Amino acid sequence: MRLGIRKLSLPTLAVLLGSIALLASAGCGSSTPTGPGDLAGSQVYNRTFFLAGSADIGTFDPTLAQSTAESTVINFTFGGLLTLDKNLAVEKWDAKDYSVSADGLTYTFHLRDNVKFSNGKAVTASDYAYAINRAANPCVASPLSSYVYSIKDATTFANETCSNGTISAAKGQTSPVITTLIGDSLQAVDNKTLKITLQAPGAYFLEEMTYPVYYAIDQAVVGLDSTGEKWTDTLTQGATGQGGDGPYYVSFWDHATAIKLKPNPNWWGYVRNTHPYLQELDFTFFSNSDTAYTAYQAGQFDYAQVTPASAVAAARSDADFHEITQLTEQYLAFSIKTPPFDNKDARAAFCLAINRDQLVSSILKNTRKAIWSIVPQGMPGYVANATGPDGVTATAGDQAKAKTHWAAYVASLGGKPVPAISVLYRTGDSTSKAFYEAIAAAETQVLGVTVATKGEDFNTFINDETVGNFQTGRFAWAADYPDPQDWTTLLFTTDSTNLGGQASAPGADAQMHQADAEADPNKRVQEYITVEKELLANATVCPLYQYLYQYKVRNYVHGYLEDAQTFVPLDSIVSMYITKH
Amino acid sequence: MTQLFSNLTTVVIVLALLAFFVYTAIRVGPAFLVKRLAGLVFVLLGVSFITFLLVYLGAGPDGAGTLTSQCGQHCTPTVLHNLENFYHLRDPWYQQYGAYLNRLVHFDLGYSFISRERSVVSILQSGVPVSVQLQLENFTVQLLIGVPVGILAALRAGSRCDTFSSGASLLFFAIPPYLLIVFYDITTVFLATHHLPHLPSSGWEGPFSLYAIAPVATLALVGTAFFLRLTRTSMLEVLSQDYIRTARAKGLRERVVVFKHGFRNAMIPLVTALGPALALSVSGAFFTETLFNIPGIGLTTVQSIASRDYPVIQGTVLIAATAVVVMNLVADVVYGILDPRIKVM
Repeated sequence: MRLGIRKLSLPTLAVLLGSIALLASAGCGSSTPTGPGDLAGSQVYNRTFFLAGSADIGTFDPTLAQSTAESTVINFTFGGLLTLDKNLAVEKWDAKDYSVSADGLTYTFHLRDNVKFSNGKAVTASDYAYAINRAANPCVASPLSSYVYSIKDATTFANETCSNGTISAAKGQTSPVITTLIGDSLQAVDNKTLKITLQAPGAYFLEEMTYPVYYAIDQAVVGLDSTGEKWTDTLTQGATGQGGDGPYYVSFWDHATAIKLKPNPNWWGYVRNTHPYLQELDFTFFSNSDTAYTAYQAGQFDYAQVTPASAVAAARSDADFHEITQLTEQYLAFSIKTPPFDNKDARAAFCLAINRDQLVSSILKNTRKAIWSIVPQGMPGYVANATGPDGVTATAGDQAKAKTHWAAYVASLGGKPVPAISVLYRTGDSTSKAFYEAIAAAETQVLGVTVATKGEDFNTFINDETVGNFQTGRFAWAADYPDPQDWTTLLFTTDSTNLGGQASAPGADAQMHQADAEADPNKRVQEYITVEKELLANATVCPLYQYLYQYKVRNYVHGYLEDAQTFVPLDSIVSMYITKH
Repeated sequence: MTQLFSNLTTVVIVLALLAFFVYTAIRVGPAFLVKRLAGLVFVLLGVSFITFLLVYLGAGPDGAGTLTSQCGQHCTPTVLHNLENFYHLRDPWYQQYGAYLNRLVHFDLGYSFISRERSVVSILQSGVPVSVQLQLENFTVQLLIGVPVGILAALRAGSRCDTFSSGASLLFFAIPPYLLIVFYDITTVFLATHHLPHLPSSGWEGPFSLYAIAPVATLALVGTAFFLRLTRTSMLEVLSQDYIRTARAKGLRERVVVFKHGFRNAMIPLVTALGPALALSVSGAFFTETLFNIPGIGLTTVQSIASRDYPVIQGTVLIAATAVVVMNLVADVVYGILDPRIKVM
């Protein structure tokens, strides 16, 4: 007797075989590819990644770029000696290797053998020297000149005056006029070797060098114009563009519509068989980010930021939703030279009266994270349970202690009236007004003193904040590079060019400069942590929240990620791919 | 100068204006044209000086605070000082105005305070033609629908057709365009999520693309209602005149009575309304352009005011002033064509 076997009819066999084939192919399609090599060429190549971006970038010039959008596209198209990996650790990029002298003052970089601009022209050490010198050149008036202040004579050079292309000494300058750093602290020893001499040892210098201001620029493209403000209009010229040496080149840039990038065939990565897999990147400009997100939902784009805040809660459960903790914080800054905030008790009271948890939840819809630390999460030196004034760790503040400190301040006045208090904020931001009015209301309720709010447009606000023309107000800071020096010395020393150079704590200046020069990385971090403790105990500044960034990217886009600075790391740039969909 | 004419829409508009000026010179006389164009020059001089004063007083003698958006959190006194030198904001006022006038003569409106790499001409050049395309299409739809329906409503005053069209126009007046856009977005997202056919939610690829349908429709709704009611009212007034009764008594066909005698006179209020509306189309439609992500000049204008980008504000004001003066001239000449009794002065 035959066991359980019967003759199959042709139709049944066809269905069975078809089902097996379907199951087999479904099984193949459902497994996640680990890389482009797993897939057939037609599934990976010749795909365009459509991103719904922000408004047109202000500049494509690495010497001038400071917004996230600008840095993002520049990272795709220009290259530096060093870069940051996805964990914000420094790694070599255009540089093959580098060394630091024993005294920590001289850095020597050796270029890779095949670094070329996208038009095929070789990149030399002098291109880096030119770019760095340009950042300090007063005729260029780069807002990023402070990033090169570590370099010898750069501060003096940058602070000189330029009028109609002629550089003259700054007011009170006794040293000779410096007209260039090239040949001085920036030396192209040969085509492949760059030597940089610092003013003083600074362990954070390597992190600083990952900023676009240190990227190579083709001098010939910038031209003879000392400011070269129009050279980026020529980036798209030629078959493979020009000006940059990154993994992509600029194939199209219409200020009204979009930037398009294509893989740079002259990029050095091809030699080691690492190359971009996308046919094109299309960054479409959106003046309104809500409109961009709607367009993503309508299927027009592969990437968009999730906005407004009310949309984030609904989007959290979606498979294509991503959230990163940004290296950006918002504080309540104090002008410690202006009453009442020249008094420590007044500052402490103000700070402790704020219930960050409630504000972040009710006004910001949990799109931010309430914090006490000055150095944000994700940054070396971050302290998870930082302590605010009077030992308070709860981000909800402590209203009872706030009242105690305020009473102490009032008592110190000896009968004199409390000065009128106004909280300064920046208009044009969708949540600023509501947030700071809520803070003012909380202060009024808890401390029993009338606190007003004052909104100013961006220009006036930045101006007042820079020169210290305020009592207390909004202050936001985004990481320039992943080093705690960027969050302490740059902001809170008395010679800082931020916050009027007067937000500080007794003895903190010396401690911060000491930490800057410390060679031992662990010891450095501990010193910055100590400084942060003192700044918080002194209520020098009142941290409010850390930014979270929410975005969506389609599931068929692989390898795309943003780091805590919301940049796409170079490792990700060259390994992204799109599967058939 | 060559930048201005690199856009097809700009070229077409300029050629159309030139053709109009030639026609005016022939029909009304060259003296009239010269007089009005000379007036335009004086208007522009006055506007340029007023806007220059606004910039100078707003920026202050050393430009304090106007350039901080270029450096953001990295602004230092040194950086600001060098930026002010870059824009010559530390020069005496008469030097600055002289330099400005000199640039104006060469069609150079300077550089943006927000992005020093962008000339004002390039900003306006990329935005104004798109806004003009959008608005021309918008007005075409408004007139093609509003005017005939208005005429019909007037001819059948008191009928159901009239009642319905009046009610519809009231409804269109009541609904703000941005509300319509929100409804449109919700519908589009729903259709996309359920993989149903739908129009694009945003973008612009020219006035004859699918992208133009939704923004033009939302913009045209209110304007259509306006022209419908204006045409109806104007036609009713004209149709009650004695000369219309005379024309009918003479046995003329109704079509001739309505269009040759009636509508021709009823058009005068339409021209009065259309002239300035067309002129201000160079300023763009802020909400529509923002919510549909159309790269017009509307959002740029609002943003430049908010960010105190004075060179761009100056440029948009000058363009708007020029457009108003030119369209007033066009309207005056058209009046004379429609009604020879109106002397063009």
